Amino acid sequence: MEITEIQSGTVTAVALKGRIDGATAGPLRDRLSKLIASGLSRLVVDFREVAYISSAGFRTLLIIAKQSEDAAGNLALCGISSEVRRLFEIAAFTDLFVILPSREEAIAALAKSGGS
Amino acid sequence: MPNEEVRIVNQLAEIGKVVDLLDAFGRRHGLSERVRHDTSIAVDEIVSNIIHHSYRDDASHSINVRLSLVPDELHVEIVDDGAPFDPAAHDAPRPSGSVTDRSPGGLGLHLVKSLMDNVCYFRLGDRNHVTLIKKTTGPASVVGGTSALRLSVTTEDGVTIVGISGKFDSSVAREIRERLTQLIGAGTKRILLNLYGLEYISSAGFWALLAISRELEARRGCLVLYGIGDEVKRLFDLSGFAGMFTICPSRELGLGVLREAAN
Repeated sequence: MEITEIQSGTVTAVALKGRIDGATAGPLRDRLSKLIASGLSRLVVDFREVAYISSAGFRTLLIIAKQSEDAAGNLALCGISSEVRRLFEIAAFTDLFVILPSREEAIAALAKSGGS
Repeated sequence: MPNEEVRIVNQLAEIGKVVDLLDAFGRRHGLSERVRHDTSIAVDEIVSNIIHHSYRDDASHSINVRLSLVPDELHVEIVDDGAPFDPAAHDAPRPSGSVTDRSPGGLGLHLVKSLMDNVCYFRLGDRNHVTLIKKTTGPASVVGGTSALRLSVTTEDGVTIVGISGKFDSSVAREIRERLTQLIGAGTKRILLNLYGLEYISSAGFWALLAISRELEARRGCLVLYGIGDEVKRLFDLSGFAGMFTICPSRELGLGVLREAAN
């Protein structure tokens, strides 16, 4: 899995590429965790090039969402394909996150949001 | 029958090897992206589960994964030497609740059951055998598992108890027969078939059971059935197969008959 960070004003976009599974979910969690801990509280996670996500990936999203909440940050997901959305629906995770169609829209939404 | 096999050690990073192989195998045989991805997720869940929960020591263990393509189905058999664990027997309720009160447990098995058309489990000797089955043709199942057939195998007092639930028809008869034949090949002589969860059995199902019964008899073994509900009993009577099997009203009586057969 490739993880790329792109800073856009006060918002940090994290573009993911590949599969989020038992092998890659841990490193992804560490990476996102560090970003939040370093004070970057407006995070957009871009799923455009994610092939699929397993329960380990969903668990990572939960942990990151809680951490972001604790840090009074804002988290949004974007670029979720119909195949990946189907997995979110099976896992009943669709309602748990702010999901926006494109990275641009997600960045714009978080740039306007409150918080630090 | 195209097939491929890989052996990994119990480290999460090894999962990549299995899903890479699965992806290449799937592409080579023209399997759709959805079939490849759904199966990769299910394999990830089962292998991750084994690595996280199956071992009682810190030693290195190997996990064997075998892919095979049969007409219309992709089968993935995962074999490990960890503690007994039957994913097919665990209920996986649909997750609910908000982010903060959500517990992540059970989600993996929920995904496996939703994405696969069938999940079979066997404990053979000191190994778990989990077989994931995904249909490769026809409409993709969005949420499978509700009427999918499930097999579970346990042993008690030297008797192998096999539970069959769901619909036992031509689409699964071969799989069940192969699985039971495998057990018999491994030395099982006394099989008690628990049919409580059976919704339906077609003639292909009856023939598979008859073949198993004959295989056991040829090895001086014995097959006993129990847990036959009214609806399934009607099918046994209508088909004329009722008289061809030893049917017991309860598990205890079935075990009794098999114990006696051994003496």
